[in-house]
This record gives sequence, C-alpha cells and structure tokens, in this order.
Amino acid sequence: MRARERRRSKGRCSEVWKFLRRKEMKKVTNASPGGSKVSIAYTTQEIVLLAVLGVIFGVVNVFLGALPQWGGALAGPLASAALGGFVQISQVLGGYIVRRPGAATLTMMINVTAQFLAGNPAGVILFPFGLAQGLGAEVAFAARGYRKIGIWTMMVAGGLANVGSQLMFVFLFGWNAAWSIYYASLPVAFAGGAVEAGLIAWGLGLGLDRTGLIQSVRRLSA
Amino acid sequence: MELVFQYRAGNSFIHRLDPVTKTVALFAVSFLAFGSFVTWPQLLILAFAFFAAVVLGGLSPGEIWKATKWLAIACLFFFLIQAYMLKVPGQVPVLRLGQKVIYLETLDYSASVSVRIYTIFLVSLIFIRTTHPRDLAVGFVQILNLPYKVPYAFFIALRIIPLIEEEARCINEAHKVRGYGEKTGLGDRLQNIKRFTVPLLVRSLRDASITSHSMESRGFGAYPRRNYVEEVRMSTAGKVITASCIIAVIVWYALIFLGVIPFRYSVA
Repeated sequence: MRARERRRSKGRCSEVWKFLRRKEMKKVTNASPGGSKVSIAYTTQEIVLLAVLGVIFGVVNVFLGALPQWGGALAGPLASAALGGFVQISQVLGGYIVRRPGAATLTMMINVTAQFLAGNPAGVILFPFGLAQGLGAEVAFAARGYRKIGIWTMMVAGGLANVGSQLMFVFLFGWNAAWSIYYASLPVAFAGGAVEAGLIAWGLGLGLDRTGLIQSVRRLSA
Repeated sequence: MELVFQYRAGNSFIHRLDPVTKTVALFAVSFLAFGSFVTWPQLLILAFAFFAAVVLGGLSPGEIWKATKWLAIACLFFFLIQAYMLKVPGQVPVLRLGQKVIYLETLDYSASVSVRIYTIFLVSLIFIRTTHPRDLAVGFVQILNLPYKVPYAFFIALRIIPLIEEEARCINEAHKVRGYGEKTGLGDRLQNIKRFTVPLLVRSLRDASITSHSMESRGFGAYPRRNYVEEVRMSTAGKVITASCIIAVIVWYALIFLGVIPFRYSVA
C-alpha cells in the first residue's frame, strides 16, 4: 500500500517536473534578448559564439560545398538547387541561438571568410554568395521580430537562404539553360533549404537547448 | 600534433609582411584566377604562386606537395571527368573515345579550371602558413581601424579549431568505451553522425562561452579602443605590394575587356 503510494507520488513529482521543465524550455526558446525591444548591441559572448559557429561550419562547408556541384554535374541544375541546403545550416542555427538583427548574416560572413582562408576553390565568389545566403535567412527571422522562432521559421529561413544563393548565382553568372528550369529551381531550392538546413538546424538547436548552453546565453544577453 | 594547414613561425619575406597586405594579395590572386578560362594565364598565375611559396615564403617543395597532394590528385580527376563530360562546342578534335570526340577547347577549359582550383588552395596555404591568427586580428584593427570585437572573435574561433580536433577524438573514444562502435549501413552511419555532432558542437560552444567570460572578466569590450603588446604596421614593401596587387587586378581585367588576354579559348 505504502509502496504504491510512493510510486504514485513519485509519478506526480515526475509529471510536475516535466511540466515545469516544458514551461521553462518554452519560455527560454521563445525568449528574445532585451525584453520587448530587440537590441543590436551584441555581447562578447554572442559574438564569440557566432564566430565559433561560423568557423566550424566554414570548415565543414569546404567539403559540403562540393555536394551541390557534384549534383549539378551529374543530374543538372535542379539537383544542384535541391542539394544546396546542406551549406546553409550555420546561419539558420546562428539566428536561432542569438536572436538579434544581423546574427544570421554575421554568422554566414564569418563562415565564408573561414572558407576563403581554408582554400575553398570558389575564392572571392564566396563573399557575395555568403551575403545573399545570410540575408535570405535573416528575412525569415526579421519577419518574426527575432522572437518566437519555431520549426516553421527555421524551415523558411533555410529555404530563403538557399533561394538567395540561387538568385546570386544568376546575378553573377547568368543562366545558360532554359529559363523555365531556372523558375522551377527556385521552389526546389526553397524546399531543399527548408529540409536540409531548416530541419537539421532545428534538430541541432533543440539538442543545444536541452544541454542548457544556449539558455544561459539568452539569459545573460537578456 | 602539427597540422598541415597551420601557422608555422618563420622569418621569410612573406612572414614579415603585415596581414592586411597578405589578405589583399590573396584577394588579388583570386580575382586574377577568376578572370580567365584559358590554361596559359592560369599556369602563369600558378608559377607565380609557386615562386611566392618557395622563394618568398620559405616553403619547401616537399612541404607543398605534402599539403596539396590530395588536392592535386582530385584536380587531376576533375580535369579528366570535365574533359569527358563537358559539352563545350569545339572545333579542333584531339581525341576520339568510341563515339565521344574530345575537343581542344574542352581540354583547355577543363585544365584552366583544374589549375585554378589548385592555385587558390596553394595561395591559401601560403597565407595560413605565414600568418599568425593573432596578427591577423591585430593587423586589421590597427591598420584599418576596424572595431576590435569581431576580428578578435574571429581570431579566437580560429584558435579553437585545433582544439575541436582533440574534442572530436575524445568523443569518439568515449563512444567506444560505452560500446558505441562505428557501424556500417546508412541508418547506423546517420545515427553515428547524430551522436557525434551534438556533443562536439556543445563542447565547442561551451569552450567559446568560457573563453568569452574570461575575456570579459579581463575588461574586453569595456572601452572603444584598446592597447596592444605588439604593433602591426604596414611597411613600405607592404604598401608597394598592396598598390601593385590592386593595379594588377585593374590592368588584368582591362586587358581581358580589350581582348589582349583571352577570356575563353577560341580558335583563330
């Protein structure tokens, strides 16, 4: 009898704990620094975190950047657009961790600088691409006022980052194939970016949230 | 452990140059290399890059080969695949493989792109080997008067990279101790990646977080300007090289637009 009561009490405690934790997580994942007004003044911790994130993914992108190129060489421009999302993870994750204007763009610019120094064969072309990809993700975060960032915002950010890349490609190099293929490549790029960058960044962001690391960043910068 | 792609102390001419001059030169080579899709200008730029690496940067040919051999092999394969797969309309047939005719124009285009990839990597190698990350941050702040927070954060991020390699090894061994060995099969590989990525990212970001607290506790960011132990200045040689690089890029593109240097291979 007493054992059953203890088990029931333990179960209730566990539920209360889970409820509080869910509430706390929700509060923190939807928190934005600076209370109601989103400030542009970055703390040292935020800048360092974004720089580390940018450099890590910059090194990763030197290798991942080959994916859309191989896709394009083997199966044409649509495959290239579809696989382009894998290189957009850093700015989406950067915008998720640090909820301030310019966080996604700053992460991507640091990312491309690291790629440039690491000898990415794309060379200086990386910089306009980085700007377009960063601004693409930024649009989605800005539309949500840099707060209440959920899975859909992340997916839209990933999709727009990849679309930005596709637009910059045409701006810089033009388009040799039929224009109908280019127009078809834009929704494909959006879907590819949403799934490959948005979902992966969301998964990584949740994993980081659970560790409590970025919760402390948000509390400190609030 | 000494990484191939890492700064090494030295006293060569390029080691003594300031980081801003080296960055301008890096950009200039990249601009020059992207200016043409013909092999001979690309070979010219590559020869200059080799000269800079061996004579001005003090890198031995053996070191260069050790650092770039895999890329050289990849470039060779890239050349072969491009030469076979590309559908560049050509006029001068060189080789016939069954039904497939390979033209001189295709070979020239493929070779120019392959050489360009190698050149850009080689120039980056010279830059990384001869530039200390701290000098890069300090140089940009002192010479270009940039706000110091972002260049310093970038410098710290560059310093964390070798530590990440060590962290990755620790996580891998921790997984093995717990019985999570490497498995084959697509699903298991994805599980491995997932199990590996989040701890690596968490540990890297935690290191960055601790470093930033340490920086703030020492007054980093408290003042708009800061003092430096070392001063990085642009020497006369640096000013001459910077100006030469900018002029070289302008002249190169002017010659391309005037048709003196060909943009693409064409048969007269």
